[in-house]
Amino acid sequence: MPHLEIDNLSSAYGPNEVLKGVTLAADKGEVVSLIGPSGSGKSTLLRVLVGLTRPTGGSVFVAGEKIDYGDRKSLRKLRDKMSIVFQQYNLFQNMTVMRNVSIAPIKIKKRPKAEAEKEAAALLEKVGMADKHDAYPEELSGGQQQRVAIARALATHPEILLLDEVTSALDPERVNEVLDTIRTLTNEGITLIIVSHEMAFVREISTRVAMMDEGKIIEYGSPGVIFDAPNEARTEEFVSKILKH
Amino acid sequence: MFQRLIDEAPLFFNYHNLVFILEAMGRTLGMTIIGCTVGFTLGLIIAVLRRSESRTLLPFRAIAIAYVETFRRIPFLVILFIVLFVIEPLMPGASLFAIATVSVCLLSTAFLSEVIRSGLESVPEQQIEGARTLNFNALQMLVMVILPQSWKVIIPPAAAFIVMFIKDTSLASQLGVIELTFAGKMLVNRGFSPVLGFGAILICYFLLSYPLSRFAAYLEKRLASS
Repeated sequence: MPHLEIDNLSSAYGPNEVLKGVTLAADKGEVVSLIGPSGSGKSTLLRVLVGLTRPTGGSVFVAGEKIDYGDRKSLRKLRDKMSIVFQQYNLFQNMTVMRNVSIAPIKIKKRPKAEAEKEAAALLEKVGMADKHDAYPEELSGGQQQRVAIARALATHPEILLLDEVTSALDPERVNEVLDTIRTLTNEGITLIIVSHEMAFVREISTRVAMMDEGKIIEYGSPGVIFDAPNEARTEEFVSKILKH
Repeated sequence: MFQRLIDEAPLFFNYHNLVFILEAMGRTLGMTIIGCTVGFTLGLIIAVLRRSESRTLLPFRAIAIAYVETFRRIPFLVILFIVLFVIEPLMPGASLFAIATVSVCLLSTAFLSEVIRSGLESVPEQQIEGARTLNFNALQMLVMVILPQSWKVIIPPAAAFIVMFIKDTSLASQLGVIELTFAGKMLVNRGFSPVLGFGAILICYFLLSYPLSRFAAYLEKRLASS
C-alpha cells in the first residue's frame, strides 16, 4: 500500500481549474519531486494536500486512510502526520527561533516544555542554526529562516513532508545550505514531496519524479527516465530547456 | 480683568470647588475608562467575529456588522438621547451617569472594533497559513500569532481615539451628567469668572489626555522595536 495516494484530484480558484485530475502514489520514505513550468499546478497540489486550498474532486489517502478535507477532525489528523515548508518560510515574526520550533510540540502536541526544547535544540543543531536560538526571524537571512522553517516542520514528527519551492526566494549563494539540509532528511523514513526548480538536485535525491503540465501529471518515473529518456515530448522539451541553463 | 482674576482666585480655589472639580474629573475619567475597557473587549470580540468564516456564526456576524456600521455614523449626542429614551421607561431609577456610560460603551465598541479589525488584517496571510498547517486552532492562532503582531498597528489609532473620546464625553453634560464640562458651566453660573472656571476645566482635560498620549507613544516605540 502506498504511503500517500492521490487519486484524480482536482481543484479550482473560481472558474480557473488549476488541478485537472492528478493521480500520484508515493511509498513510505520515497522522495518524489514535482517538476514542470510555472502555473502547472505544482504548488497548488501541495496546498491542496495539506488542506490550505479545497479540492473540488478526487481523493487523497494517507496510509490507506481517506482524508476528508471538509472535516476539521480529519484535517487535524492529517496535519499531525503531514507538514509543509513554504517558499516564503512563514516563520512567526513575533517569536524567537527557539519558540518558532518548539511552540507546536508544546502548545499543540502538549509535550513537556523541557523535552520539546531539548529536541528543538537538536533540530536547530541539525540544520546548522544552533547559535541562533534567541534571534527573531527578521534578523536572519532567507537561507537561515528557511532552515529554521525546516526544523519547525520536523519538530512535529511528520511522516510526510511537503517542500514548496523552498529555495526559490533565496539568494543563489544561500541555496546550497538549504539543499544540504534537505539531503540529510532523505534517509529518515519521511516521505518527501518536493516542488523544485533545482534540476540537478532533483535528479540526485529523488526516487521518482513527476512532470506536471497544465494541471496534470503527464509523466511519472525514475529520475533516469525523466531526465535522460522521457516518453513524453513535453517532458523532453521542458527538461532540455531547463538543463541548458 | 487681571485684577478681577487675582481677587477671585482665593475664593475660587476653595476646598468645596476643588472637590467639586475633582469629582467631575472622576466622572469624565470613569466614563472614559469604562467605555474603553468595554469597547476594547467587545470590540475585539466583534472584530474576531467579523473575520470568522463559520456558518453558524453568520447571523451574529450580520448583527455585528449592522451595529458597527450604524453606530459609527450616529453623532454621539444622538446616541446619548436614544439611550436615555430607551432606558428611562425600562429602568426608571437609572442614573444619568449610568445612561451616559452605556452610550459611551456603545460608541467606543463600534469604533474600537474597527481599529482592532484593521490591526488583525495587517497580519500577513502566510502567518496564518503557517499556524493552520501546524494545527493551531482559531483561539491559539489569535492569541499566539495574530494579536501579538497586531498591537503595533492597533495602538496608535486606538490611543488617538481614546484621547478624542475623553473630549467627547463632554457631550454627556447635555444630559445633565456633572462631568468636567458641566462642572465648568456650573462654576461660571455661580458667578466665577469664565476664565477661571473653564481655565480649570481645560487644565483637567489636559491632565487626563496628555499622560495617555505619552504612554501610547511609549508603547508604540517599544512594540515597534520588538
